[in-house]
Amino acid sequence: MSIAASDGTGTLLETRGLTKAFRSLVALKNHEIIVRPREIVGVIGPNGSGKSTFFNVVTGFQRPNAGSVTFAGEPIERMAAADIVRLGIARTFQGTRLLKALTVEENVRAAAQLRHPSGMFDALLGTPRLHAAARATDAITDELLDLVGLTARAGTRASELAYGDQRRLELIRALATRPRLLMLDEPAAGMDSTETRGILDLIRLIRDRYGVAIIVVEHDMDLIMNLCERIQVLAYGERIFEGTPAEVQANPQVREVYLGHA
Amino acid sequence: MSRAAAFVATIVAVAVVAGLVAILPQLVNDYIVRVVIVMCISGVLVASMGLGNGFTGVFSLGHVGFVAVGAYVSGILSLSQAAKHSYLPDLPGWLSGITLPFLPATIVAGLVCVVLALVVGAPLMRLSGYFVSVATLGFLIIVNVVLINAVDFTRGARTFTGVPLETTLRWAAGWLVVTVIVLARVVYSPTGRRYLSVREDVIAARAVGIKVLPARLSAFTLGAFFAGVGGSLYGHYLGSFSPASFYMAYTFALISMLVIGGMQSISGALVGVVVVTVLSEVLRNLERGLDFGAFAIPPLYGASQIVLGIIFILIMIFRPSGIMGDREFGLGRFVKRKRA
Ligand SMILES: Nc1ncnc2c1ncn2[C@@H]1O[C@H](COP(=O)(O)OP(=O)(O)OP(=O)(O)O)[C@@H](O)[C@H]1O
Ligand SMILES: [Mg+2]
Repeated sequence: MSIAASDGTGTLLETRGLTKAFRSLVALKNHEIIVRPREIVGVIGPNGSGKSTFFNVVTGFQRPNAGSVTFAGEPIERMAAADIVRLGIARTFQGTRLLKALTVEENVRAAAQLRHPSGMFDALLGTPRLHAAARATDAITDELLDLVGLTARAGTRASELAYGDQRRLELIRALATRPRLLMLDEPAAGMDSTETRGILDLIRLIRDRYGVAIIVVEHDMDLIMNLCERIQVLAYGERIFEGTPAEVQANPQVREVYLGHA
Repeated sequence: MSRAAAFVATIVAVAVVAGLVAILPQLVNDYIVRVVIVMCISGVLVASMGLGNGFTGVFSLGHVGFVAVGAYVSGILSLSQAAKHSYLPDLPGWLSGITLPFLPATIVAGLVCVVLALVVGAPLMRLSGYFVSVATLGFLIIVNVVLINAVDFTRGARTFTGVPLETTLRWAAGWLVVTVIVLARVVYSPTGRRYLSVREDVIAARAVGIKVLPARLSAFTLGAFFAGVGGSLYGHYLGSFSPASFYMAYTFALISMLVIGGMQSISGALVGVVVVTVLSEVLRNLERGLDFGAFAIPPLYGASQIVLGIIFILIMIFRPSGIMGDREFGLGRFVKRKRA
């Protein structure tokens, strides 16, 4: 079993002793993980094992009761969600969370404009900054819509997209914030095997093209085993194993807790 | 639409409004001119209310609180020395000594509302849903009570009078144009995109790095500026008013215009103003009775309110997001759908 440890090539994300409880239920217990730049790490575990809680605590949507989260050397466990995105962690949600009444392209622009800020007075006065920001935001948006084949649907309301397209839209929206770490919560949920294959290729392409590290939570074992370089297994909020896909599949404890059901 | 085309379209729109304003008084009688002035003032107020209520989704019931502040602040500032001596003898010296012209008094009224909105909004804009509606209603009530009790400044519950009648059609239409241009530029910009994101889904907005409180607060504050401006216009149109002029009844009148027109577009706010104003004027005239010689409709006092109520209900049943929904006509549509 290969314990996560900093290997000197630089650590992007590190959690230590991370604990989150809801009343008496400890959803995440003494969690530890290390993610390096450009890595694709899987997090698996049965329903209710704390995977989404791990995401929520790291991305600032929930406050941990104890422990630390360090991203690119900065402690972020007390930081607001919006600031964490600015620092470079973007995420998707289990079940989508789109800006439903807005168009596809507006969803992406809302994220892309993070890196090209402009304020109310820029808008009022039509400053060069506003126009430069609009051009840059449009360029990122066009590029990402093209990446997932949504260019033709740019003007469609997000709520009118097919389910698979909604998931892809949420993925590129996260990517539009120019993250260094992308956290995907069940990106292939509800997709058939062809679509899942497409998501796998897309995630790999995103890593290769944009150089981001990626953490994927997924119940689809095919996807996880084929995509991830390293996999962490959670059960009852605790890390019970971590290793390569082959090591995970060979481990009897993991088989019992998780794979045994499959 | 390109920047140049948008610029030209704006110029053309402004020219058309200016032309209408110039010829309208020659074409129609004084009564209709007055109705149009009131519509322009309502347009300023309803469109600015739509910024927060419609675009950021923070349904405030406190807008008229800012209208009241705007009316009183500009009223006090533009009262003549003689009027101040007779109506507000206890005004502090620094205030009783100054009399501002209409335009600066109006701008100061707007700026006072900006400061007030920042103070009030900092805690209130953290709330959502029904909570923020009730809390902003609390703000309206507090403004009302303060106006009634600040007797030295406002004459209390008695009528505040002597405000010069300076709100001409030109002023009202001019401010409406300014309001619409400012709101359109902000709403269809990255800043406006933050407003819409926050309205659609607070969590999704935060997940793309949008800070909820600053977004809501900036919309609330900009809306309050034009509420103050509109309050000044209304005050200088009425000449005399009291705290009761800016309270629940006025709040509900403005809200019904916003909701009926459609609060997710600026056009919706304006359509709501026109539809509600024209309907109530027509119905009000009808209920006095008509005499066509051969047959006559007898007066039916109160009927106009009932008909208006029924029309509201029907619009809400068949068009729950208002007449316009989130569509704009003219400029806004092109700006928004530029690549569709
Ligand atoms: N906001 C909350 N309040 C109370 N309990 C919660 C909350 N969020 C999660 N939980 C509980 O914490 C535990 C871990 O939940 P979490 O969502 O992290 O699981 P998960 O591993 O993502 O599961 P799934 O595979 O079903 O998505 C569960 O028992 C869940 O019921
Ligand atoms: Mg989950």
